[in-house]
Amino acid sequence: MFLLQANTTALFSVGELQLLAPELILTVCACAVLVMEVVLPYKRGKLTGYFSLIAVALAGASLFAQWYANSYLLPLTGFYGMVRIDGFAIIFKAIFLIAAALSIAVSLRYLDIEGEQRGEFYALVLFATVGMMMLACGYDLIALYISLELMALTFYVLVAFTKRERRSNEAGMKYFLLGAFSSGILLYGMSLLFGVAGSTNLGDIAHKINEVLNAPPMLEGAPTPLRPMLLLGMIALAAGLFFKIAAVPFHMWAPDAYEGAPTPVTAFLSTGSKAASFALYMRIFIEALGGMRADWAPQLGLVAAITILVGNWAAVTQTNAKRLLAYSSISNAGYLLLGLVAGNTYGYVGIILYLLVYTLMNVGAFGVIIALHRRGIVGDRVDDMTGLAQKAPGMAAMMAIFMLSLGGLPLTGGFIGKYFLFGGLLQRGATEQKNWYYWLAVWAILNTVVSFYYYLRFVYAMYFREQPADNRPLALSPALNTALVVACIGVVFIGIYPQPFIHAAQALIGALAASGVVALR
Amino acid sequence: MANLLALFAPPNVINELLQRLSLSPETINYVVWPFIQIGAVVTAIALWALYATYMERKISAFMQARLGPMRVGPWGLLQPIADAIKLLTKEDLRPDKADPYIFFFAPFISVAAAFIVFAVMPFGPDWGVITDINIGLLFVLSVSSVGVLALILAGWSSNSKYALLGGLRSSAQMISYEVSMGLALIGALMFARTLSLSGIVQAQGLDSIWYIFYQPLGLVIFLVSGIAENNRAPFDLPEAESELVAGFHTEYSGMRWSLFFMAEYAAMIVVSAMATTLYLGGWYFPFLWRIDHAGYHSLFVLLSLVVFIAKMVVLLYIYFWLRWTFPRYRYDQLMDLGWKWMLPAALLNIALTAFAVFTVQALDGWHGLKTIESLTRGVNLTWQGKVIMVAFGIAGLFIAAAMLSAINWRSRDFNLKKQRRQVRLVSPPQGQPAVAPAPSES
Amino acid sequence: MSDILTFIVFILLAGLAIGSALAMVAQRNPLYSAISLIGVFGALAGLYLTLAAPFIAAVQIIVYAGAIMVLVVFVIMLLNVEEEVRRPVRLRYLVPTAVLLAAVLFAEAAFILFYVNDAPAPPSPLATAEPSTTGLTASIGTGLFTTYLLPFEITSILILMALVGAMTLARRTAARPQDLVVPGAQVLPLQMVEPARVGDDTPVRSDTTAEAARTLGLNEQEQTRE
Repeated sequence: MFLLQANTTALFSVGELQLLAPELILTVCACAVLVMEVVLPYKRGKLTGYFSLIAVALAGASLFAQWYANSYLLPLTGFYGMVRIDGFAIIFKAIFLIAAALSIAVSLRYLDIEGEQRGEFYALVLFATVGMMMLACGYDLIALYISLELMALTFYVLVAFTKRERRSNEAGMKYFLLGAFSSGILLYGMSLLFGVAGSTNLGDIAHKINEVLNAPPMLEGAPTPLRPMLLLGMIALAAGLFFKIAAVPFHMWAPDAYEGAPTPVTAFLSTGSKAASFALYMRIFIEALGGMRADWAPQLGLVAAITILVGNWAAVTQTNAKRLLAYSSISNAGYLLLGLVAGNTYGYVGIILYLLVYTLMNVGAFGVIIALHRRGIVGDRVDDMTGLAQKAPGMAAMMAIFMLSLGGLPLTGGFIGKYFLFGGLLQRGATEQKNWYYWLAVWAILNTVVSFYYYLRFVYAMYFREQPADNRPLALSPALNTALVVACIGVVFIGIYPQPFIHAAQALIGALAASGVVALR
Repeated sequence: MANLLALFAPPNVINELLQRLSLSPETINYVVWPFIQIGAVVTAIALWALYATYMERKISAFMQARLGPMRVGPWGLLQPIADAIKLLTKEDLRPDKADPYIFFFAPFISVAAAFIVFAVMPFGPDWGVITDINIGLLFVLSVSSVGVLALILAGWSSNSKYALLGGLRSSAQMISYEVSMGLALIGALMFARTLSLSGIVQAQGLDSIWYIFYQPLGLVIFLVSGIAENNRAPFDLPEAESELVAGFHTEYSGMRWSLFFMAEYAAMIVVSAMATTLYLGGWYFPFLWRIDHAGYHSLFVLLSLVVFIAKMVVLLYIYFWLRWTFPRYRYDQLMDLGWKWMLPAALLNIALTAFAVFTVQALDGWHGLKTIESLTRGVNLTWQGKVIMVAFGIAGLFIAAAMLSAINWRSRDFNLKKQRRQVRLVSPPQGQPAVAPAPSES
Repeated sequence: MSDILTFIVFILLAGLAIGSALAMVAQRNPLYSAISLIGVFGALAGLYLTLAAPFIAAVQIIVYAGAIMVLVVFVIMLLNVEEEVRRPVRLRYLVPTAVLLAAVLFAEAAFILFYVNDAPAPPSPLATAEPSTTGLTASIGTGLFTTYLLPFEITSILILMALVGAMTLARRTAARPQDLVVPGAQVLPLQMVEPARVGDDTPVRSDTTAEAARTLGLNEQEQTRE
């Protein structure tokens, strides 16, 4: 028999691979896409796009199978504690896969028009999705950081993908420089955290932090010795992550990057990347730094308040649709932070639901902008929407739904998400008996009202202006239409009948909230 | 006889002398001895650099049915000394627009990077090695990778287009080939299981085999990459006389030029010594250990040194042989060879070696087959294991040849006939030529 | 004795690192900056050595000083970057603000370090346990293939992605369909090959020179003319 010598120790049990089945499927398919790009002739380039859609579907199926088969076993850990598959990871991975699928679907036509129909695009999108999914299930600072870099580097390339476009190059450069800088800050925070905890595992860090914070002071009235170091680490981590989600002091890259990037990339960047960064935020701040909630909650609250203000008011003056949506995305980051500030089941469900709805409606909105992009017409100004209701009523109706949902009108998904986010804040205020939670909620609601102004500008342009911007037909394709219709149905369905989603989110997020409670003890 | 052999015991004599000077054993071991060794090595290398020119000129002369240098001394033996004196007394020119500091320092970086490596080279057992560190191999690679910088800096600081182009070429070339050179070594490391160079030699001694038999492919890749890394013909693009005058050291003269020259020859020795250490068993020679067992330790060390140098000189002869028999590659061919031939072959070598080691381990104990002696210090195989491993090594050559031809079957880079026929695609613009052709006299 | 020696070595290396870093920032000539950066890397490698991590030190030199810096210098030379011209500072208030913020950050860090220093020192693992094997090649290899297997593999995906991305951004051939692409690194602008066809947007993609010539309508005779 082929017997192995004792020195070839088992590195890991092969069974652990199934924990990463969706990621493995995506990675293999991404490599296959790269090969297809070389083998297929240029005219058949779109096949790689459809193949990547299949890859995402396969990954989704395996994710579902993973959840279905193991739902009573969760959380599962593996790879020496590097990976933790719990409900939180699964639900975020589902969001990433939806974002990736929709982005690929809307990009098929766009790349044709740009003359950049290349397999690398789809491979890069798949790689970015792998990075995001690893972010959702990573349970170790090293794994998390490398996954974050995998995602971020891919986006730097994707943002600059249309090389002949000057704006795209500029956007890629700006995003890269600022992103690299923020990664440095994030890494600094992580190293400080490691210095205190002596471990990169999030669970160990949480234990150690509770130990440090609950240690009896050496002298009467003196602060806990390691606490300042923890605080600095926390602030650095928060700052690095503020950049990734485009919260206000670190938001300046977003408008430029969103405007210059190819529109499908903007769609993916504003949804997938944001969701992944929030997954990382929740992992680190709730699971590892949960014991320091009293320290970071006011900080995040303040940043959220400023972000909501700046995002909404800056969006009012924009004329470029992509730029406007970039500011809207900044303000949405602020709303999402509220869920983290609330820090209770309500808030977490709000984050999950809102990210899901946000993915659908934002990719949808960018999809409509893509439909306006034709050879020789950029089509990304708000004015380009003029008269869309006459030219393409269906498209205009869907855009209107997306916009109203972004604003948070009842009966759309955006309302449900915001309801939970604000509700969580009020609940937390009631529990902690602190007034600033209420004021924060009121502030957010007031600014939401402002946001309706600029969202309705799209509706006004489409329905109430007579002259169409141009007479050329829209750049439609079956994949784009399907993606838009799916997104639209999703937004409306969640708005009208949210119960199943709420229940699913509550059930899946239970594990995270519980461990958060452990840390909060 | 015993008295005669006692003559071959210089360390004892020196040790006694030093002890008479009332130096502590630590001082002797860690200060005095290293200085003696370093001095000996530096002198030897410098002398080698001198006489390598003589060797090269003689070899080239014999290959071209000439005599070579014959005037200075018997058979021209003093020619290198005369050259050295000439270089030392020559004026040291610095171009007016050259960067003064970098131009001044580049030759020193170059020669230092080439010489520092000898600190860890295992020329022999016992006192035949200056120091043995546990990352010796990495040390060699890291220091020689810094040596590239000197060439680029020299090329840039000269402020001359030939020098700059030479510097650019050399850096691109050295980076390209460094990769496959480093990867080629990994196969041998899988057997030695240590990065210490003395440890690698000892592992071969314990296994009583030279790794060239396990790793023929690795040696070929290493040597080709090493020659390219040294910028020697047929890869001497950075100093191609016909196009770049003299490459990165065009503007250098006198002593500083000779430093570059010395660094080049020292680097050749480094590559040969590395190949000897990793693939040719270092200072091991069959049955030499009996001398040690008979009690003549110093003689053993001296003979080991001789063995090492002999192996090295054989490899160095290959350098000259290649130089005078191969035409120079074109630059795209050079890059092609590095990235499309050497790199895949090196990667294949790693995979094949890993597979071979795995197979031999798996076969151990199969139907009573015993392949592995022990795994404590390197891989020690029984003769059955050795047969299997050598078979894998030879098979690797053929597999690599098959794979490389599969990868490059459409490559036109080495098919000159095809290139001549097909590259001329551009039709010259019709009408008046920009420069009027010279009126033909005939 | 050996403590003092270690301290002196540390001070020397740290001084070299900081000095080189300052020189790198202060230099106006980009090549000098690059050389200073090599000094920083070298000093860092020395510091790793004093921390008994020879493998990391060697890799630091190979990867940073050897490979990355050579590429950096290469690029500086290739782009022929001139000495940076001292331009008038447009945003005057930036410098004092930066200095102020840096001072605040520094004070904060000093404050924290002060407190941490006051904290009871954790029991030194060196005093009790055997000599640590951390930093040796074998322990790093073991770590990479057991505990850190997953990050290691994600890194390999990362590098593959970076390769693809770099090629995507740098490749010139696919960007301009009006150029004639001959495999083997020759990109001929169309106007050079066939001036009459400039402005025609039909992409010319060919796998061989002969095919390209056919697509462009050049006849065989012209093509093989010597």
